[in-house]
Amino acid sequence: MARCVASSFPYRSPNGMDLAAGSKTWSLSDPEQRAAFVAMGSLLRIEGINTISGTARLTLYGPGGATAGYDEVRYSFLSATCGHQPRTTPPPDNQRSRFQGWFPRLVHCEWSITAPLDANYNCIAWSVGRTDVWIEQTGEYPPGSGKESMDWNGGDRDGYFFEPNDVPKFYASYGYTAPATNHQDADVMYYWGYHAAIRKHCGCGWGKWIMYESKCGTAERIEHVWNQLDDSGYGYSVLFYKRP
Amino acid sequence: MWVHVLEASTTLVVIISVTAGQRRTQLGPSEPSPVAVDRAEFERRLAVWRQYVNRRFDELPAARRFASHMPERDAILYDNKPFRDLVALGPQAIPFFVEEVQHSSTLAWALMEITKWRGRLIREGDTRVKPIVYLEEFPDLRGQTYIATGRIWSYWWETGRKKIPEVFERFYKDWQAKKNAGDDVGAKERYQRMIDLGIVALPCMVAKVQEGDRELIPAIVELSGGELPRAADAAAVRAWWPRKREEIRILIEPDASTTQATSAPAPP
Repeated sequence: MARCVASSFPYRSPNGMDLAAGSKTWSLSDPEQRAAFVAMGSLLRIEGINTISGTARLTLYGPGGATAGYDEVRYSFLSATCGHQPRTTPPPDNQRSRFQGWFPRLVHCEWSITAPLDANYNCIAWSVGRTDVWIEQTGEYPPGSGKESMDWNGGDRDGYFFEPNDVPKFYASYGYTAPATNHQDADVMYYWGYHAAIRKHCGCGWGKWIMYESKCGTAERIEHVWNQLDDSGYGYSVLFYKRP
Repeated sequence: MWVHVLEASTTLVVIISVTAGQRRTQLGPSEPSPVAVDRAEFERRLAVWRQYVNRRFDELPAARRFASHMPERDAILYDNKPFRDLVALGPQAIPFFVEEVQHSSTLAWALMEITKWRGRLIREGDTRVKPIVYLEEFPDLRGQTYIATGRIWSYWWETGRKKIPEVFERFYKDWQAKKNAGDDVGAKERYQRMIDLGIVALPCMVAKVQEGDRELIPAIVELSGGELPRAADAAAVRAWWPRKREEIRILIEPDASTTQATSAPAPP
């Protein structure tokens, strides 16, 4: 008989082993339970709240109930903690399913909600730190209208949105003039599907992850690992900028 | 006194009380504006609009909800009755709008609709890196790269609108100079810029018409928002003006803004 003992915090596993705090026992002499135990072994994932680390212990008991041996793993949660974890309430308010359905590369706890739904500004505005304007590709909008465009406000003002011309000029107007080569040294990433994300120099993922923040259309603002909005309608990051 | 008064204002109060319920925006029917707008009514209409807009955005498929380029956004925000009801509150509600637009720039379009002001942003010099920008009509309102939406409207309310008669005179002289020089394109552009000053420029335009300049009548017709027919003449402008003047009194008389908008606590 094997028993997996978790430390005293609530956790859930995507493979169906949901425990509050406590333990779960498998009889290894039962083929079905043995198969479930083996399957769990490669999939076990622990999520938690209000704690950042803990211990998981796997204990093997002999036929008489005496401890035959055990293995113990100390773990630390790696998660995005600048915002709050997405709500999982029923649709249409289910932030997790809404986002992960549209951005297939988002990983469970590796992103968080940093600001609520807001139609006042979009990703391009947030990439230059603004929440007072929605920035379109083209168009001359009167000052004070709550709208601007990359072409007119910073770009080459030719009435067309041509990324190689307008995007660098637009970001230069906000002081992003130093060359950057990729997500690692950039402050702002521009995606070819008309999206932009701004670098977050935060400690999420114990400082191991390269985090960016995106305002997603009229929806929420999220922080995410740099490549986790790829493969969506935003395409991929193709242009990189930083301030000197 | 910088406002050109054509009629006795005591008569005008009576007229507005009779016609206020008939006011219509260009976009279609809307709830009438009470003569004196209080904050509670503004908050009520704002809440209705927000509820409507949130529902429309919630109904969008994810592909549209998450889109950064969203052509339907303006239609969702502004092409609806709750928004027209907000705009119908008219000039009396401008102080409330200016306060709200500090953190909700989608409301800026209501201010544009009411004031009909269309500013022009000028980029100073050739520099592309953090350029200094300012407004053509208010050169003292400046910023680096941009001027925030809320700041623009605070300035317009507190300072800008009071400078419009002076700006109008400058644009008017430019327009005449270009006409006299035979520069039709330049004159047309200056004429449009006079219209762009919005309804606060109306007293200046009406005064010019009174002085005999009939060329400004089409500009007045445009700023009347459909209240004057395209074929209006000077007599029609004269007949229409007293009621309009009373409607926009909060914008054109320096002391009116402190007495007309009543500030009551918002409903819970």
